[in-house]
Amino acid sequence: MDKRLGVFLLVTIILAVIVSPFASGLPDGLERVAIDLGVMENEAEPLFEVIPDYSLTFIENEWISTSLSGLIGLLICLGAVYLAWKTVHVLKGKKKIQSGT
Amino acid sequence: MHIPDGFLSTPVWTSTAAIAAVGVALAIKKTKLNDDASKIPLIGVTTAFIFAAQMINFPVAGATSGHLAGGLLAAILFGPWMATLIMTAVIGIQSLFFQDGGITALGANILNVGIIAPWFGYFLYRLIKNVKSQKLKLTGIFIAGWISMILAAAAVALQLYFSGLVPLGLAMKAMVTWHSLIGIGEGIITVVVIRYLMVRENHLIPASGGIKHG
Repeated sequence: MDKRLGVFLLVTIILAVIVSPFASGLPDGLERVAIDLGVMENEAEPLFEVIPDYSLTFIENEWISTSLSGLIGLLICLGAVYLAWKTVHVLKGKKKIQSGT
Repeated sequence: MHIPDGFLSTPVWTSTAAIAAVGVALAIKKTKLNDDASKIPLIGVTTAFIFAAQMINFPVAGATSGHLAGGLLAAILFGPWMATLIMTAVIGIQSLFFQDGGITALGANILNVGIIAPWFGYFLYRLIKNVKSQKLKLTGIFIAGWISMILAAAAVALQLYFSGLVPLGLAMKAMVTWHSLIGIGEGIITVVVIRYLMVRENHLIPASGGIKHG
């Protein structure tokens, strides 16, 4: 593996797993504006919850909960790209067989 | 600036969803993922990096917080079509798995952060892409990142206004003001990452900028 790709991946893992619990809890830009304009209460409850707000509800320790959520998120991202690539690969392969090339 | 469920009116979320769907469909057509097999690991790590970086909110002026959006970063590395796909993946995963950004607002969020930010940012980047001076080029990338964040924020303000939620002037002023501060972070992080991946050595990403993209 290219060294820089490795470093990039390492930084990514460090951000998601180690740094993420230290993220600022202040309202983000849109939330700040929504609060100031008095429309924050319009926010609807999500239709369903998987890992709401990057916390695993069955883990009490907030840090571990956020860290693990980050790690799960990374795996989903990598998995999604791999699946997308595989899908394209398979579809292209089929096309080639059909067109006889 | 992920819009949650409940902020957008039905006409706004359906029409932004339709525009985003067309954009993503075009992006799928235009990017030939299969042709760039050697770039897949970097695309994967970049997607994961953007997801991770979006978890890291930095405090701004003691009143708000912001994080990298990443659209311009992806556009410089892989071209704007691929950037739209990468951002769509990140925003979709955040919404579906982490309830960060509403399901009904998914289209609007993809339009703002996955289409408007990377495309306008990339357009600005193209203007300075070929300058010889490395300093000037990195300054250009910083400005493009900063503006990409402000434009996405302005789009959010418009959508909230069209939803009948907020007055246009107030919302626009507030969104643009806060995100012109948060956008400084966008510019800095984009410059740092691009500098590391592109400038130090040139075999990972061609110096001419990006991989082949249609």
